[in-house]
Amino acid sequence: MHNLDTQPPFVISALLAGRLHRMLDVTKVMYISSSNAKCISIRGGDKTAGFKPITEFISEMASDTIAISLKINEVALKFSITAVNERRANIALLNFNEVLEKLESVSKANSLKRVVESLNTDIVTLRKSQSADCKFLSSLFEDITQRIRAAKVIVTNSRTEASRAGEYQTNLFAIANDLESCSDAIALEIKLCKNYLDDLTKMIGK
Amino acid sequence: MKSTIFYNGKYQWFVFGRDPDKPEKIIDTNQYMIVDGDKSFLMDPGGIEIFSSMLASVLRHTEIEHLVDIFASHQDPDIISSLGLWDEALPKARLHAPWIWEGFIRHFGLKNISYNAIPDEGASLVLNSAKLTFIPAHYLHSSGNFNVYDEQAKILMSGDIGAALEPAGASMYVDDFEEHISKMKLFHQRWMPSNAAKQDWIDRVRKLDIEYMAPQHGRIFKGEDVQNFLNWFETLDVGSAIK
Repeated sequence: MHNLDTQPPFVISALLAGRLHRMLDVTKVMYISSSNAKCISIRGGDKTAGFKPITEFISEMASDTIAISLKINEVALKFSITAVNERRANIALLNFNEVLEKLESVSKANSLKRVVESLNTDIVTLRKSQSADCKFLSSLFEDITQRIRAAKVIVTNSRTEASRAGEYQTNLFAIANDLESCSDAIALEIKLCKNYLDDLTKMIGK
Repeated sequence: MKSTIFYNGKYQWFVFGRDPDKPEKIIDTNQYMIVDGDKSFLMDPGGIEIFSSMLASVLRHTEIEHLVDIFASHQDPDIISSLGLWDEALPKARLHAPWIWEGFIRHFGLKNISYNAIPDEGASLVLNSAKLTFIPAHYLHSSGNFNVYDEQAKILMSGDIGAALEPAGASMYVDDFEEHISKMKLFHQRWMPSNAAKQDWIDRVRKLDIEYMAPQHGRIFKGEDVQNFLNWFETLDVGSAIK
């Protein structure tokens, strides 16, 4: 785990986007596993009929998770760009304030003060944008979390259905295992991403 | 930002580029990274305007604490003006860059990252499995300038040599060398100042076994297109602004 205390917000949001990319890879595997299961459930007819709605749910969930993750990625990147811009504006502000302290001419100082005011306004706007992005990210993560929670319950049910599937049992158990490990991996990535988001939210709130 | 893996052996070479979020009037750049276990090496990390996209793309493939070495082929803003931000993100990293540019590059902001000055004759860098050589490419175009050569992967990261000016979304690889010439000609004639330096570099690079020549703008040359490039460059008269 990274030491986030020493990292600026633009790095944490990039870390979040990086983890999300890994979550996307796992979700794609989950989507493929559920598609395989769907094929088997069609081939198995009555013996695997109970598996069909499960695989349909997982496919839909994986597809939705991919779409939401792409949205999160987009928002996280936007956040990172805004955070970098805020950092640059803060550096500029620091420099302008140092110049103001050194300036003896009142008229020149006044013209610079307008620049400083404009920068302060920009920084406030950038902060508001970051705060809105954090809230949006939080709601998107909540959405994914609920879907994964439901998926875990469904995956447990899939084992029961697999045990009734006759000659398809071995294949379906293997797929159920795949789906379970995928949903566990996604849940772990979400937890890590949420930690990053909590840190970002705290930083923005300061 | 698009990332493509173009060598996958004991370690991996990635190219980053074709950023759709890049501001319109900024020249498109290719950034390169080697991921070698717990050590990653970022080459010509790019300008300040693409920093966010770059960092997010880099962290898809490596851990931030693994990114311990950065390279700047020369001092240009599209190469390294993001340094002040990398300096905050990677406080323990080293920057390998030409000795003559140290006092200049530090203007981009360098408080935490240490500067490893590469002498004119070049140097080497070992990650884990990857053994890299900084090959002199002085005056092509910058007066203090290096390429990165990886003997095992047979890759030459050639900086501005082989660069092409292309519209957004171009392919990552040269697929028709003759057609590609029109996109490289002006750049090499105008940006490269010295025929003597050009020949010196060609003589040096001809001795290397190169499968991929990877420039900082435009497309990557593969296989026989590397030799095609060297042959074409050898006959090209450069330094056109004073002719």
